[in-house]
Amino acid sequence: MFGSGQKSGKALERASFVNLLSQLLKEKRNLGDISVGMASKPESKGIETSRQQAGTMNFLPNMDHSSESLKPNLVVSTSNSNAKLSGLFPEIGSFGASSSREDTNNTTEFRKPAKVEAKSSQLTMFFGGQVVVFNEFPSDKFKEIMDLLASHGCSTAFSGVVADTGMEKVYSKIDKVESSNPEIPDLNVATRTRNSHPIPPQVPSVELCEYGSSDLRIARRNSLHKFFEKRKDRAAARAPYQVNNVRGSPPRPKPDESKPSLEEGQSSKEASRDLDLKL
Amino acid sequence: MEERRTAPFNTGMPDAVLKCVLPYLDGPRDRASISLVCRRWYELDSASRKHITIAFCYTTTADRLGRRFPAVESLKVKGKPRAAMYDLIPDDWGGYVRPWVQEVAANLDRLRWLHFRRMIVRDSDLEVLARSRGGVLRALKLDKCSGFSTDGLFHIGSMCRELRTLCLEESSIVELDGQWLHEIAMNNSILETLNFYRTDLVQVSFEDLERIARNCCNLTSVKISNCEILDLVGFFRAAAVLEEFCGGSFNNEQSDRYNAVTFPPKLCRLGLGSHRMPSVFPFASLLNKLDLLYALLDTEDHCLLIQRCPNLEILETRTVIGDRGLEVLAQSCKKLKRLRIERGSGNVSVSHRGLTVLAQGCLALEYLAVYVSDITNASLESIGTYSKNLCDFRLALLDREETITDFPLDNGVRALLRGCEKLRRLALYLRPGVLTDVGLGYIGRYSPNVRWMFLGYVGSSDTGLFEFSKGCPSLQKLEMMGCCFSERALAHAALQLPSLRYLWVQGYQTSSQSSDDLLAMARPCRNIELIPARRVITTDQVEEAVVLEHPAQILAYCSLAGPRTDFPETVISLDPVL
Repeated sequence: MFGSGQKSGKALERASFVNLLSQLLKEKRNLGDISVGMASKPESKGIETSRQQAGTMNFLPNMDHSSESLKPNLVVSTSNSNAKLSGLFPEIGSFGASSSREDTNNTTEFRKPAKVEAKSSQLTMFFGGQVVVFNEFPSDKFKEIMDLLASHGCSTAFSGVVADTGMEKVYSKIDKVESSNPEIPDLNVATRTRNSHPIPPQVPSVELCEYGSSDLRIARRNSLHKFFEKRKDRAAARAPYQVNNVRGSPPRPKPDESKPSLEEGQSSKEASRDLDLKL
Repeated sequence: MEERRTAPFNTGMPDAVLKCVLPYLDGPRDRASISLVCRRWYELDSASRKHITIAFCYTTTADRLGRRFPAVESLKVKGKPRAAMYDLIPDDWGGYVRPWVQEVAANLDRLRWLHFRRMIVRDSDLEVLARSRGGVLRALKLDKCSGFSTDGLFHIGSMCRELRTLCLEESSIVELDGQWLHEIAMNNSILETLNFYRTDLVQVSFEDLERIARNCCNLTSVKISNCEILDLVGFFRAAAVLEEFCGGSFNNEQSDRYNAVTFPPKLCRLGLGSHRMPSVFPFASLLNKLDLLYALLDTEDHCLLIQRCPNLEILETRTVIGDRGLEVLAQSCKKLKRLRIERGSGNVSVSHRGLTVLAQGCLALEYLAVYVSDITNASLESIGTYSKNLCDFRLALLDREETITDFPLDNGVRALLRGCEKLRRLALYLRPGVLTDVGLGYIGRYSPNVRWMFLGYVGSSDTGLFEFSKGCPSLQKLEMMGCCFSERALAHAALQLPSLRYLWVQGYQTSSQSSDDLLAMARPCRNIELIPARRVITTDQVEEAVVLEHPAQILAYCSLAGPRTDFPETVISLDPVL
């Protein structure tokens, strides 16, 4: 869902958007309870679907539809702390039924958001692997953000409703992170906090969910990791226009998803043709 | 006249005799025992000890080393935790060679062999070393080190003319040019081992390699980075006594040109970086060591090659070898002693089927490290039954299969431990539920000789750790990941395990009074350090930000040096005094 911006232009676009958002956040510093956290690259279905289900809006930059690769996107979700049903704002409309399938890649889908039940509620923004949560976020400010985003020409899609336990897990993790992070960090920069109390770690099962792919749960040896990255690079450099191009795939692909010519198990003759042995 | 008083435990052996005997006793445990007999023996040992390994650089100081062992000739110092090889330790964590190099330069006149592992080295350190000991240094190994550049190596090349061994394997080196190798080529005629394998040093010139091969008539082992093999034809011709070669790449389109490459006649240890097997077939029967980690062979290729290597003793490859390859290995390579199967990226995997056959066929196996996708109790029992020479066993269970065939593995692990009586080192990286608290208790009870363990995702509660820590009488170094254990349990274990002197844990249950619970394991001469949970943002090749969550880490170790003074920001010392 998150992942490669194929072109550096996208990265610039994203960077400038994030800068704007940073400024807005700093201006709104007096909003009070603001929590910030980071999520790992959400490759796990658990996180993706739960994000879907918690009143999300997708802001997807215009993407090349022919590519099946993952697109960077900004997901903004709001939730009412009382109601399971997360709402958006009257001027936008009301949510339809919750969506259970991942459709973040679909730029054109539009669903009406649910009616907001309170004047202020929690706003969660997911962007490029970072998570920002605002409690008690006023609706008029939210409208400002919406206008800001609209002015950037981002197409939007609304979907999903119910926050499920997966999302709660993410939130609880974020809350824990937040407790050790009193100030609003620059969104662009890694947060380094020196804690007197270590941030509570995850129980193994949550860790699995959070990491999302076996590659991350089982750390890879540096030397081998470099070797595989180089192979991917070279295959991509050789064939940049192929469909299912490796370059569009997430940085740590699951073994089954890697490009056929990269797969082991192929006969060496085929491998030599495809890879050209640019080791 | 005062009679010479003899101490009640006087051995009656004059020093002269002891001095003749001591050189034959060079095992570190023997020497440690000798030094504990009495003060005189301690002094004699100190004066004559030739080799020292400092297993963890912060357990003592360089000047203590110099004071106790002034005549040491060979020194090995290790720095960062092993997890650094898997990118789990901050780069600037520590483990600086500077104090050791300074001690070597100032006081250790007899030092000839120096080996630093997972440490931070600066160019200035290399210069100091070269200037002070360049005339006598015979071996320098910078193994998985970082922090230096080819400028530092230039000093080594130009001033260390007695060097027989230069090893830089897997180090992170900033490459400015290839002059360092040129210096070696121009100044050294006695080099025997040259190793810059798994480095990114590519600006080396093949002409320099060739010159080294011509000048150094004892050159037996060369492991390089990615130089084109076709350029090395002259090198191979000149290296007449070469026994080991690893590295190189096969980038040329015209594959028949590679037929002109003749490998040296005595080559018996080889690391292939391609799929080109036929060129290996002629001397495959000579091979006793094969490194296929970076080769592009599929399962079939593995089978074809391994069949032709009856003398193979060491094999390193990836999971692409498959269960079928292990069957071939079991049939063909009866002398196999060491097997390492690293995680590959394809669909082929290794499982209990291959392991069972392997254990039955390769009875000489001493070291087995393998990533499996599936494992059963029966296969572990087979290993316990057949692999009677096994000293080092490491198993990691991949997440490829949702559920594995047969779990929990408690009984299989017990059978393996009871059967493999020589086991000294053990690693089990599993999943929640695969090894229960009972199984963890078995590990404690049935591993009398194991000195190092790495356990990942084992047990299900503190009870398991309590049971575990009742046993493991020889356990000196314990590393754990993905634990469900509380800090209290960890502290308890650290105090219970009688031989434990080094503990590393990542991923555990913190409590609200976290520091207090951990401090329960505090003792004099024991340091406790924390690396709190970190979020690391890196960029991948497509300039996309990757955020990695690193859970908190604990490192506790015995030390005579007091708490560290060279902390980076990411490391916190838990000092009970504060």
